[in-house]
Amino acid sequence: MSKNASRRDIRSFERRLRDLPRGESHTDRDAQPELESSLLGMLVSGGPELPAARRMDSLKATYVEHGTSLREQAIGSDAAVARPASVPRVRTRHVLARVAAVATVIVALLVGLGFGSAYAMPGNPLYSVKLAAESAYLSLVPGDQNKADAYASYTSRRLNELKYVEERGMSKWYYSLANDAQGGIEDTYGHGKRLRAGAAQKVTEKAQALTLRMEELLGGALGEMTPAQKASVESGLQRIRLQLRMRKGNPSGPSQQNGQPGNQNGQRNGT
Amino acid sequence: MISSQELIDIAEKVKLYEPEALTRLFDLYFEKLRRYMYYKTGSLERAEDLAAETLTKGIESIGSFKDRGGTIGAWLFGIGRNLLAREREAAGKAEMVELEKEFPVEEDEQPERVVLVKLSNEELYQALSRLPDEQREVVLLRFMEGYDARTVGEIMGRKPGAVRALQFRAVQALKDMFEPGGVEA
Repeated sequence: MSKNASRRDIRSFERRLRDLPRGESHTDRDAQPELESSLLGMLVSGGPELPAARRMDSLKATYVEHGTSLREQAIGSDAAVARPASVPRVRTRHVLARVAAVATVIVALLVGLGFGSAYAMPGNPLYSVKLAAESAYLSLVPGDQNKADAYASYTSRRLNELKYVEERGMSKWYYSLANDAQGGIEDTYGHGKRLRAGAAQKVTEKAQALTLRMEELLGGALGEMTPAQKASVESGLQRIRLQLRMRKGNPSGPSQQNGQPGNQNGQRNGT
Repeated sequence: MISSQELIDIAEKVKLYEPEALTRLFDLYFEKLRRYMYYKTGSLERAEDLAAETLTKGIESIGSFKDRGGTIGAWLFGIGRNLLAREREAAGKAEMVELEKEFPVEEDEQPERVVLVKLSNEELYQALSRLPDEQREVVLLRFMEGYDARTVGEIMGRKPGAVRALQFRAVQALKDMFEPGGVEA
């Protein structure tokens, strides 16, 4: 903007200002655009000119020299590429932070889902989540004692669920729950028999108690299974009784005499 | 008028300390920063130093600059503003500064030209010098440097609405000064 033009614009601005309404009715809506437009026209493209900077050349030279030394330092310390590369590093950190945040949310959701599903019963959409969580937990539990306890605990849950579905006549669940419970009893016993005598005996007793409870619960349910399902469950129970050396209706078997549960091919007592 | 893309390219090259980009950055912003600093400090000499110091600080911390579409100018003004704030804080001075009584002109200007320049700039200069510091800053950044309210808000650490309010009050105050009987230069 030339100085003549600048002066002309200022005069024009002043005239416009004088023509504008004043007082209470002078609102932002009616006055500002014109005022701003005048001011913009007067100031844009440089506005009032200052006298030329006297030391601009020397300041510029110092600045460029400083920039050059920064460049050399960066190259020397491998940060030249580190400076620009610091941006990707920052980005990488941001990406990692986002991934961590997403992972945290997912874990929180899974944990929440796990807790939420802990009381889910057959027929509930979360029931499959409950089974998956149990399965995941079982795969992580260390040691036979812990695994035996976990299997016993989950078998007990299956039996509670069996009672639940029987009370509600949800017959389609009978076989799968019975099957799961039988598998749980066998796994309980399977881990228990690897333990020392006293601990093994306790696990066997737990398995025997679970078997007895299952037999009680299955009373009515067996009649509503298909013949093949019924045969499968009955043969499974027979197999378990053999493993646990149980006589029907009596959890105490000969295995207690020596304090050791029988093995898979063990002697047959009872049934 | 330089395009946003050009500014983005310059910023990227400044990050690599390419000499040409450094020079271009200086050429683009030294004068703007000097004028801004002059209206903030009232001293031509100090304005030169502060403008150069702002640019130097800018290239020292260019690694932390995140371009949001040619915003390096606003970023530099932010640095300059912080520089001034720290300086004033250290000196224990208030935000408001007294500008020189007369608008400075080149000593070697011809007499008639000096009068002309003084007449043209003096009125606005005097008017601006009477504005509170923040209002003056908004006028400088919005109208002289052409930044929008959002960018001015980023530079000043204020919300765009607050910037518009300051701008409204500044323009009203300027109007009052130009009214007959108002404060004339």
